[in-house]
Amino acid sequence: MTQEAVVSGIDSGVVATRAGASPTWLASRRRAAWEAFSTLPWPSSLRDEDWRRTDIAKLDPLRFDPDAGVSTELDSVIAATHDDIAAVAPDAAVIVCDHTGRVQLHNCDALTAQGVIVCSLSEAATRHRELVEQAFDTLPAGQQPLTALWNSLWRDGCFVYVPPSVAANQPVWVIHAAADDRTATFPATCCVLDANASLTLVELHVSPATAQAELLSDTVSHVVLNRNARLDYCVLQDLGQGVWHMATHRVSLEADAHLHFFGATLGSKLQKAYWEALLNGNGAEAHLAGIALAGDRQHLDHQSLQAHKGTDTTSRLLLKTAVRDHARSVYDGLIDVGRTAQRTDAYVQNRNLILSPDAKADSIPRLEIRAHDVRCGHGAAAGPVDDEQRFYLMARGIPAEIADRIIVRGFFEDALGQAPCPEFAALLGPLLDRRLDRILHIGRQES
Amino acid sequence: MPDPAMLLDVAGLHATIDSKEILKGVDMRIPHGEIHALMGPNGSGKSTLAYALTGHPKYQITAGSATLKGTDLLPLTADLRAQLGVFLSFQHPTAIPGVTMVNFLRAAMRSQGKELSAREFLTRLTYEMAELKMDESFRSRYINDGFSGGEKKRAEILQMALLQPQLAILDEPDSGLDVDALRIVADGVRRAVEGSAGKMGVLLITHYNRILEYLRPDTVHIFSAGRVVASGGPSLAKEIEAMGYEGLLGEVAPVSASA
Amino acid sequence: MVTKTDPLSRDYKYGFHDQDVSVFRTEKGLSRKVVTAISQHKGEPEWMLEFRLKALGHFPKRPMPAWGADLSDINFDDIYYYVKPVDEQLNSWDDVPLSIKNTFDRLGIPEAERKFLAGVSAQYDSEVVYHSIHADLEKRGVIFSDCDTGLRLHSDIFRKYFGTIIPPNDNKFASLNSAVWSGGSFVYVPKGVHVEIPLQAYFRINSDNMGQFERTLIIAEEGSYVHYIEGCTAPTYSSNALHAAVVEIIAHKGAHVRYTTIQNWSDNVYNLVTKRAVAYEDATVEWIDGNLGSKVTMKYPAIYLMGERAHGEVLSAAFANSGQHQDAGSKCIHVAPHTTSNVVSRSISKGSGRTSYRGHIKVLPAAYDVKVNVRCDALLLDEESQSDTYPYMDIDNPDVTIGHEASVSKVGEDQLFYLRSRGISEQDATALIVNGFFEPFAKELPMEYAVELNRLLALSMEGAVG
Repeated sequence: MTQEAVVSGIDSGVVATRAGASPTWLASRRRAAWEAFSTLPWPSSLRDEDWRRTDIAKLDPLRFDPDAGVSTELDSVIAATHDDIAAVAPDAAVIVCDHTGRVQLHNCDALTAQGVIVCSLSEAATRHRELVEQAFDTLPAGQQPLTALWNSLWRDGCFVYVPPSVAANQPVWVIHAAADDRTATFPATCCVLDANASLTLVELHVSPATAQAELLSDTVSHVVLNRNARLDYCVLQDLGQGVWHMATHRVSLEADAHLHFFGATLGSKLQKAYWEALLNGNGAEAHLAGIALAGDRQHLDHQSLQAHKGTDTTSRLLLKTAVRDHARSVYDGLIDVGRTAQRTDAYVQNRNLILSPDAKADSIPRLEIRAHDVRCGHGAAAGPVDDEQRFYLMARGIPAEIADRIIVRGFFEDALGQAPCPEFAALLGPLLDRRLDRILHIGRQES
Repeated sequence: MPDPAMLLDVAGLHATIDSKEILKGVDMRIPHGEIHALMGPNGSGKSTLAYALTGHPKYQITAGSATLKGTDLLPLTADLRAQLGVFLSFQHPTAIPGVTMVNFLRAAMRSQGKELSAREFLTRLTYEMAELKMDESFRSRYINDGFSGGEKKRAEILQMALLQPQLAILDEPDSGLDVDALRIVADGVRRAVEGSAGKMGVLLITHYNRILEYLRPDTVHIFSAGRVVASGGPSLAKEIEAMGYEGLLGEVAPVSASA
Repeated sequence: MVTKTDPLSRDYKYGFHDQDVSVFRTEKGLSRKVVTAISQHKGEPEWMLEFRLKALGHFPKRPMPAWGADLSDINFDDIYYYVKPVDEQLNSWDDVPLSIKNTFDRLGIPEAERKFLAGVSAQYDSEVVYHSIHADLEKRGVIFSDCDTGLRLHSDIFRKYFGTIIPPNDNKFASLNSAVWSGGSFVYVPKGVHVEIPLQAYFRINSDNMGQFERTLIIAEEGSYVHYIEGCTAPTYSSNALHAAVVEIIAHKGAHVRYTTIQNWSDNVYNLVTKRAVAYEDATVEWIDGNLGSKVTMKYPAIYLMGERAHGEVLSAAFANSGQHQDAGSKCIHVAPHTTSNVVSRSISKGSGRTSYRGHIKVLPAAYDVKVNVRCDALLLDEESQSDTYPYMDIDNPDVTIGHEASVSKVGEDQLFYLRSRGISEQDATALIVNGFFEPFAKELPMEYAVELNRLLALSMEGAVG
């Protein structure tokens, strides 16, 4: 067994083991996904349009360990994150998931008393198969290598179901933690809101911040909002500097459902994140906002999709990114209005603040409109810190780098104001400040 | 030689923007506690002098000196000059969307080593805002973003009151104000001077006599084509009003006619 | 005589065609033999034949574009690559063969020349059949000829610039053009010369299964100014025609070149054009690009801003009626500091028509103090209309101010109501709004063209409101 600890990686044997421990429907899904993964070409920046600006040719997912075990680093990052949540949201239900497949529930009794189902995804796959399948069906398992890989290999994760007309009386916070060099982690979030239900869901992706450990994090969140359901949904990506993070957050909205999504991207070495709202039902509404801050050699790629199929649907997206050092931001967003989606009102906006000469921001906000009675638009902008703003602050005695921090915070302000959960904003504020201080090389004299 | 007893000592100052010379040898001395008015035709370089003294990076100093209490200002960046006690009330304050006035003011005071506890700060702020008849909502608004002309001028004076500079350079704090607003702004300036126990000096750039009636300058300088061409007592301002710059500049002996 | 079989999906007054008058044509399809025949027939120097054959080698290796419009109907083996209509080029209108003269008379060319042009070139299939230039311009050293003449008479300048802006391996259609090119315009404006009134070229495809591959090369020396206008029409045949032009512009220090296109090909033409300009220090290049005709257009006029303070403008208007796909846009590549560019795009889709704006803004690391503004607006007139916007922005320098705004909407109900409350019919009100929508483009056209644009729009708009 010592030999396996040295060479373990991803292969069909791991998939077979995972399938063997799954109910039949899930086992065949895992095998089919692995089949697809084995035949699909790996994303290429030369061939695939949506990978043109993000090159993961050097990432070999198979050399990461999908069966990595518990470590003190893992437990301490979990404990620290749990403390952070307790400080801002002491009443929240907390689900702690990690790369080993452990799932721990804390403070979920009040929710359970309302009839809300909160459990591990593996348990739900057995006991609430139709709900899990409903959610999984919103994203084809084998279309794209990274989601195929996830579908064949996820160890465990969280499942939340809110029954019809129940307004969940507690927010649900999910911690997805990972640690240690060469770990492969496959965080899983699955959430179904029945008709007229409502919930606040917060998803935190964390790993030790300072570690140089190289990890693969491949995550999928399936969210279904049935008729007139309301979800406030926040996602934080604060992974360590050696992490490859591949994420898909897909929310499917039925008639009159409302989504308020907020994403904050601070960590990782390279991220490719899909933020997707499928407005299938008439009258559905999706508001997406986010911030991203990149320094050093970070590469953060956000791909948003606002897909309108129902009539009278509304969507908004605002992404603000600030880049410094050799960091690069890629934003590619699509508003896709189908033939049936009359009276769509959609807007996408991406603003980039470029803080130093070697930083780079690409912005591609696309529109594809097939319906006629629509109001759609996009805006994109990129520029440096305004010299007049900086001078104005310096004229008040504020040193240049502090002035820049103030300006960057001001730049993020309108996006932050759209975070639907104040407790999440309270958690994010100090994280953002610390990250900004590090990126702007501000010492300890200023707090 | 700079005079360390003098609050501001400017000698032979030349400045250019985009290699075009705007300041062509400015001489000016402001003692502690004095209010000096600077008047002159549009385009004569008054705002350039204000920017040159506060360190706007677009202006290059090509010759001359400027010292505050004997300390050379010219090698210092704008923030360091402000930390020494130089304050500029902008003629056209810049908007910075997304940054609230309160966060901005606290950051400025902290940078200048004038930090107050949250409670003290709020007490001070409330008091000064009341003096300037500013609305409560001001605190949570973004810097100069969507402010009216009068609101911008008051916000500048509010900052001066809180930061308590040694030297306040006020670039047309009265332009675009009605009579009531003008009185409020002028009172704010006088309060700051008196509160400084006679130490704060003021360089007041203006086109109008009215604010001078409130503030009673010790000296009036006339600026033309990039330098001070005449200096005198308050009566000089009255003569400008009566005769215009052209009439006056034709008659007054150029350079340092003393009162 | 080929008969017109395609039912008109759009009113197209230039859809007539003449009998085949050609005196020489190569065999169908593309081969070394065909390319050599074209070159030999033209009596070209050896280097040009080599250039053509090299390009021919690139052609099969370059991929068809995997994006944009559907090009699967193009059959490269079923095209005549060179059709020569007359034995020699003429500079007296009276000597032009009657059938061709009739064509251009119907298109209004001689009339336009008398009225407001400094020079006219008229190309019929592969060759320029008529050419004239005002005598005083010739005296001032301005060269305005067809490209073949340019190669023959001004070989030094020609060879210095030809194929330098768009190399033969740039893309599949540039390779094709480089192999079989014929005709087009050669314009040379000496230092400091201002050509006050526009030069015009008129391109007409007459033969069935014909490909037109003209090549235009414009060199504006230091401090000069020139405005070049091109108009394009073709008969409506049942089979498709291919137009794959290459246009290269060199604007030297302080020069100002304006290039206006009113593309009104019939809707069986694949219009796949590569247009690119370089602008050196303080130079200005403007592409005024109107796309009303063709079945498919893929055209993205580009400006490489090579020198400090160079400025680029792309002002485009596209109208796609049923069966048409206008995939047009712009590229601005900022290579030098203090460069600026401004892009304004207006597009209208009607019936099942589809307009796509595809733009690329690139700012290279050395290009600081760059300002870019892009504004794209699209109007959808019918339930089936489609519109896409694909703006790519690659920014490699922080000292750049870039703004991009886009909108897609239908005709505003408030505007319609206001006009109708003054007694204007729904159709007229819609036409007014549509014209207003194209106004930023129309106001940049010479009066005669603006009037023609309005007329074409009015024709296209007939029956727009059902």
